[in-house]
Amino acid sequence: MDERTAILSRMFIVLGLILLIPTALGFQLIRINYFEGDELRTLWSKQAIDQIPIPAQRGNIYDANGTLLATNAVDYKLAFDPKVQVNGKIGVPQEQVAQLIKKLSSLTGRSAAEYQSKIRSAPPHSRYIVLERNLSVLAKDEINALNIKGVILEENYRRKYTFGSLAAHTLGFVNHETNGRIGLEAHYNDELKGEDGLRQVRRDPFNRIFEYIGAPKKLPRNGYSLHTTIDAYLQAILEDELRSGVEQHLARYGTGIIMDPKTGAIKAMANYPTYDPNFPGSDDEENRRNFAISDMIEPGSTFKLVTAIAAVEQGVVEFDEVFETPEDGEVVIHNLILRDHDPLGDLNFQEVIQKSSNVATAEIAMRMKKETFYQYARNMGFGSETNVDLIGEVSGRLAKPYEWSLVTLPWMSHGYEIQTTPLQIAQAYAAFANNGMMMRPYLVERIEDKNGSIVKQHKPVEIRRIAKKSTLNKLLPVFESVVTDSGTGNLSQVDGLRIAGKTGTAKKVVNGRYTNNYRGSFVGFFPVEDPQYVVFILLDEPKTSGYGGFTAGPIFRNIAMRIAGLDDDIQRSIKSVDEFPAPQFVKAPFVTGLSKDQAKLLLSNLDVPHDFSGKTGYVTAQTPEAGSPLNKGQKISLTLSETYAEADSASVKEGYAEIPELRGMNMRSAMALVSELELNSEIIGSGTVFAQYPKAGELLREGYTVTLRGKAKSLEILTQVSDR
Amino acid sequence: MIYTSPHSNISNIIGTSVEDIDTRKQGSDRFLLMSVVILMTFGMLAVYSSIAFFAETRSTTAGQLIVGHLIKLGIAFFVMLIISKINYHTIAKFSRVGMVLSLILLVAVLAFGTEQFGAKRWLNVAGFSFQPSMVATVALIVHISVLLSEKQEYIKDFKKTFLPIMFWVILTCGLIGIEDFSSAGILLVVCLVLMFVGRVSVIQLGTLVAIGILGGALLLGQSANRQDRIEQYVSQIKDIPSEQILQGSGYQAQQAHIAIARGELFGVGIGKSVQRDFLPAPYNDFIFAIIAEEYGLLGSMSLIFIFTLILIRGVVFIARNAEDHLGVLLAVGCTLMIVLYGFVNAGVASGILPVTGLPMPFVSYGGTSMLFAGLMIGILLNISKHNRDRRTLFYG
Repeated sequence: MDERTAILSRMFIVLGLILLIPTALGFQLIRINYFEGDELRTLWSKQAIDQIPIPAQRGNIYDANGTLLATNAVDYKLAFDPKVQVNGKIGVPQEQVAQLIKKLSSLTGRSAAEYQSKIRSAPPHSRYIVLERNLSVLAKDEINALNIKGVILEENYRRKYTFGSLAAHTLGFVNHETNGRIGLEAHYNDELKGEDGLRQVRRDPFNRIFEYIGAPKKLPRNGYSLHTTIDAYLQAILEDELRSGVEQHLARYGTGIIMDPKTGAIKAMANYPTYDPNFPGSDDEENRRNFAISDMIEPGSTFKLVTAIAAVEQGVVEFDEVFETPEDGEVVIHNLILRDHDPLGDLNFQEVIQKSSNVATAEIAMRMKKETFYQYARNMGFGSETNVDLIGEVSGRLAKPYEWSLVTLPWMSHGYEIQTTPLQIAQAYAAFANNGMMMRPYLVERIEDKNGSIVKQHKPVEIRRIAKKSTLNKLLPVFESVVTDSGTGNLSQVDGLRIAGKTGTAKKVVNGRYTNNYRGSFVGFFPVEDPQYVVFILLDEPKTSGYGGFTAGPIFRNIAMRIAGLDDDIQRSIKSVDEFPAPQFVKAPFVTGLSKDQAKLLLSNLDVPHDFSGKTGYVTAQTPEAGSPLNKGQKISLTLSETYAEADSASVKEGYAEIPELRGMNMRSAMALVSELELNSEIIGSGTVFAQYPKAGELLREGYTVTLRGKAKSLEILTQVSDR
Repeated sequence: MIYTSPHSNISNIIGTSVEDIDTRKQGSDRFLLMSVVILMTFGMLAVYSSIAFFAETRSTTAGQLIVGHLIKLGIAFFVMLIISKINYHTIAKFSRVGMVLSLILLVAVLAFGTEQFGAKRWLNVAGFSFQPSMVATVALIVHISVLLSEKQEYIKDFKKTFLPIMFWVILTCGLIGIEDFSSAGILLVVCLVLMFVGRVSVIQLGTLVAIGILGGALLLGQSANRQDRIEQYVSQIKDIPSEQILQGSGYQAQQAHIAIARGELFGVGIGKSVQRDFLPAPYNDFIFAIIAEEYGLLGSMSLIFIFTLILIRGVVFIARNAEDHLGVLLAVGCTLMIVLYGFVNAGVASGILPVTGLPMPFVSYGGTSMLFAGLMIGILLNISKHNRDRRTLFYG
């Protein structure tokens, strides 16, 4: 064998051996693909396939009339990728970045430096720098118009409360994951939320997500809508009056509830100060609290309802019985002094309630066994939750009889040594108004899916009968007498509207001691003939006066008046207006501000002689002044001017308008006048205005609403109405 | 006498004869050329697909990098053509000088080299960074071939043949192996195979292999990086851990397996690799896995087939027909060098070898390896021109 042959043969041995490698490689590739393939591919799905949710739209919340209270609004998150390729180069040019920042800061009002520092302080290689959340659709369009690469705009759904703070405590709000935190949003979170869908995406080791076209999808089920019992009009009235009451009496806070006694539907529920659920973080936490269900208060005299019902039903009191209260209004019971607000002298049973005598109430209560009294309190819902469909309700505290001290019964009889929530008081009075049947309060009438089919319909829940109907029939006049000139609820009267109610005044306990701070409350219902509304008002620590009749009472009256103006049923039942006796004396009507023709019509209808100085235009002055008595045949002199001069415009606060006398005007001129004052008008009926709210001469903030009620009616009675 | 060759003579050792520049008309091996072009095309597509993330970390774009890659391919192709025109005997003349120079470079890289990916393998000269190990590899292959062909008369002599050859082999592989164990390993294997083919005593070689295994085991204990990889390999052969898929041992190998499995028969499509995001250096060490994923079993098998084709062309046609011993040995050395790099890269990706950082010639991204692969193919092409039996070759 020569050298070459030897070399070549050795070479072929080597070749043969090396050819084993590609053979092995081939087998290995086949093995990986066909024998381990499935396992490896599963492994891949695990590491690279991800499912990300497609968010479901949260359901809307409507009021009783179908007005949208809460819905979802689209907004945009803006992120910036500075490393994107622009014209074949990496990185967005500086001038474009500056342009973007300038635009953003002009849109949001934040400084350009803030955005610059966000970009600068981002980690290197960062390709997702969030610059702004909650951009509006308009702002998004403007940013898009700049056409800058590297701008990432992501759509978000944000909860939007259409009327801002309206019914804020009832609706509640959602957190950043749009889960309800409080209120209806929390209680009905599961129903509102819906079910998120799922989308398959591919994820790389750096957690970047890639769209996976044709990948299986599970569509989201949108949330159900809530149709609540809240009436936006009543809610607005309640909030409006509560706010002005709290401001007028310098109270710490105020709470109000309007309830339908027949069904237990809560038509309005408010607290003031309030907050905007669109931006729940921007107000005090205390402002977000719904005192109506979470406040444990000693109710004071409103609790005398329990004593009255128990005493009448147990027969321990006679209506003609006379209670003699001491001259100084004080008695000593087991070494504790019990006072009346004023010495009240001799009282019959009706007067005990009407004038709210603590001394007499305690005397009546002590005629009963404490177990009996406890049973009545318990039956009327005290000490247990109402189970309203809201989160955060407390049960209050009603001690068991064996826990009672010797003075518990007399003190509890007028609302001390017991803790209740405002809603419990309203519920008890609602039961009273509903002939003794206590209804469970509720807020959601029905739940609908997105097609409008009803998922759940609320049926009124009867809890129990709190007393015999006959008992309540006897007590109704007693509580109606509270809202008369001689009752503690004298400031709650509304002409022509029969109201039954009770004032409540309670000293506040701070750290176990009674202080000189009060809670004033009023609870009542109307019309007495067929109660439609139970209204509860409470002011905490009013500074003007502690008395509920003085503080909460007028708020109640204003609300009742405005509701009466809105409610046609009540309007029909107000027969009194027609039946008032014709006036003996005519008072000078308020004609200032009317046009010459209007004044002429009004005065000639009233048979009041008059003369004008000036030819045309509006009445700017009148003698005698409106309201002063006018003898038959006495003349009214009116001064006319071309332009309508606002009365005492200098004394009217900026942004406020003084309400002119609108009664007697025709509806169209009244509306024109109101809108001239930059106020809104709410019209009920037509023809001549015969009732208005607020009254003439009151100041109203511009943009607020004046309610006008028109009726084609003899003008004679108008002066009578203006009498109050 | 330094070496014998019918086309050069002893008096022309220093000077350059007319024959040094190949002017003969017959072309070089077309199959070889085509194979290289196919490899380059495969590589270009796969690199473009997998280099995006790397581009990002360098603040550049895949487009810019792929242009760079194309330029390197062009240079490598150009070098290949130039070398194929230079008579391999001329190259052989400078083998000793080249060997000494490359050994100096190897020492230099240990002293002044730049570190990348945990190993000191790069040398920066006038702004270019290159791996002296590649220079040394080519130099050693050429020099061993020259020595073996010179010493055929006393080839079984231990002192005259075995020791001088082993001196260069051990010195070069040792220096390379300090920082790059796998390259040194392949080089050592190729040298031993060359010695075997060059008729060196099997007994002497066998003894050496035994010593080599011992030495390898000793080196293994030194580099933490290397040890780790071996451990990964060991644990990986035991079984595929289905839990902890993102961390832990065998991660790279497993991701490569997943890539291959995802490819199935026809692949997921050009540029649609997903595993490029999960594999380290997908444009280099794991390029084979990317090709397997994008082009499927057909693509990966084709790649292996092309390397096998190069092996068969290089050995069966070029080496067998080379006009002298030097031609045979040089052809075997160059062929094995290129083919083994390719097979090892594929073997790492498919999990029959432990994870090493070896590029796939002409396919992987990276300048130095491409240049020297081009150089070696150039030598092969040149040898193919000086064949004994023209009938067995295809000429272009």
